[in-house]
Amino acid sequence: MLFSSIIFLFYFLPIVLAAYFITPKKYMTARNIILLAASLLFYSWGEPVYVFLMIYSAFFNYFMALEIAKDKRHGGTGRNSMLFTLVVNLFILCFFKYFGFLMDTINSILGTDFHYTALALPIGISFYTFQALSYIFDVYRDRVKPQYSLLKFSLYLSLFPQLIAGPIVKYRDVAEQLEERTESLEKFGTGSIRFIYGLGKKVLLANNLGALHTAIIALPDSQVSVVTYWIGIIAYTLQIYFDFSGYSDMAIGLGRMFGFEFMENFNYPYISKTITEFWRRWHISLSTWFREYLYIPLGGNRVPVHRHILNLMIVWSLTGLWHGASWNFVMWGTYYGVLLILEKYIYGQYLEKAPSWAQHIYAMLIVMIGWVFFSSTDLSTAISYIGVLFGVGAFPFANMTTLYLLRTNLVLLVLSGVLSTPEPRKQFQFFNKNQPVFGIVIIFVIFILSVAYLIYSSYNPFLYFRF
Amino acid sequence: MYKIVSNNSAMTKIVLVVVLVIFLAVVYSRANADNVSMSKIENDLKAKTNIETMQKCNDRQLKQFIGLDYLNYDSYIYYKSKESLGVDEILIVKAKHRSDLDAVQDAVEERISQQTSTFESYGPTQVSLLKNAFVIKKGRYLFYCVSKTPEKYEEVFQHAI
Repeated sequence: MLFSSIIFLFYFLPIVLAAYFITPKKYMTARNIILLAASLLFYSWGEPVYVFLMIYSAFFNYFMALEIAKDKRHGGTGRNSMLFTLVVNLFILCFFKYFGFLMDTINSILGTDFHYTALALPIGISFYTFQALSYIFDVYRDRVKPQYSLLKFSLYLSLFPQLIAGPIVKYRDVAEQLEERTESLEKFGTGSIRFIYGLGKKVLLANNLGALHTAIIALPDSQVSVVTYWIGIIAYTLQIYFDFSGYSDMAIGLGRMFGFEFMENFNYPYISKTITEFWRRWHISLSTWFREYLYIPLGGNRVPVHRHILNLMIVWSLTGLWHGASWNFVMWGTYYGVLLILEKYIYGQYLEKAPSWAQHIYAMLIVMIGWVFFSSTDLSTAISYIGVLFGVGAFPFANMTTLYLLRTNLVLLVLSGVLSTPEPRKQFQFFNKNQPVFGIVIIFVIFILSVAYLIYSSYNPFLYFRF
Repeated sequence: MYKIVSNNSAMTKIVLVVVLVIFLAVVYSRANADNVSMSKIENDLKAKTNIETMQKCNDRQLKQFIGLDYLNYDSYIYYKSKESLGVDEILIVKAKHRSDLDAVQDAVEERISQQTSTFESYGPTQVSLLKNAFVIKKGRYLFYCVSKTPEKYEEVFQHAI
């Protein structure tokens, strides 16, 4: 089930909200049970079998965290239990996500033809596995007390607003909210606005940008041109931002409606001037996860230069691999690792002195090239696409297809570009403060248009859905 | 809950690992696809999609358009667009043996290539649909779909098997 679907908007969510708020606030346990049941139903809607994997993961990590704590109480370190938990969680993730990739790689290297059955990836497994691991690591490091209530821990892991596509919520950020949280009309209102805002980003912008990108990559060679392919990658760059940040907005908004406060996941990444800054603004929950639980334990930057470089390459290769079981994702992650190293040790100091506009262009070019790897089905396709972008091959600079695409999509591209900056939001908040009716009308229009699009348009799944 | 299982924590860990292994084994074996009749898949498609707006094709048309001899396979469903310039198609083939699907896949890829060549110079919409065609093998089944919404048909197919 997607947030941006009729069944969620008009059936699931109203029923869950009604059941939740009808239950008196003093019965927090009952409210948590309602949320947990709703979350498991939400998850099982698409894949009923894998809900058992989710339940297993909840019980396993709940039990092992308490084992770690018990070991520590008895004078041990809990290290063996922590390692065992880590291995099992990673085994489950690798079994579903990386087994086929591993087999393909082995067959490719050894020239063998080992057969295997490709498994459907459980939705959100990368997200909830990382959430579980953050909890285990925090218990091991005494940063948080273990949760003795299986209900509350299961709710933390499976809460439907953030279950299938993040943000990756650290247990310590919501531990108190699982016990006691404040719902209010204001929170419900701001949460609803945030949800509708995210819905508009996903349905009105991302889906249309996605259609443009799909049309361009499907063009026969006779219609390809350099500018057309740049339009394509610009469309994808904007699509993935609105798609993912829109979903995060919906997740954060939904959480707030139920009294939960989740961390922000995006902070206008396309206004970045460096790649270092970009990764402080893009998918913040994932980058902070890797920094806290992998980069810093490896030594971070408090090690000799050669070791620091190795740490960055390990972290970024795994960041790429987390996104997908394919060499083009590993290449994407490694690409950023190399660039971050270059910014840190080679040209970062010169970049700081460059004019602001040059820094923005540099950052956006690097990011867009990176998205070519991310959006391509394999490495060779990505390299071919990049080649066309820079004039490799006998493709014209522009042609009639380019003019047609610009004429029919310029408004969408310009509007999306502007909306990817913080300025429109600031203006909206300014007008809303002075003219609340204006804000209500805007949000209402976004909602109506989004619903109309959902009813009219074809199915267009969320890009980050399969992580 | 924790007190119940903590008294025998070593046993609990063993049980957890065994349960996991059994679950993964079951999931893996199920991924080979249930042995579902083609009529059930077709009924599901009729109930949940608008496949009936397309024309149902027979054995001769399977040979004519896809190049497959129905006698070589267990069963199939083949629908294509009623419009002369339409490229929408759905083909599901159930092979007698999994290895037979290689030939089906080759035939389907050839069909996509031929259709793309046909429409390349005057049908960008059709070419776009062809380039986004779904070709999926699962167990003894091959699913091929060209449509504006191939995901909808694929979802029904995946649930059916």
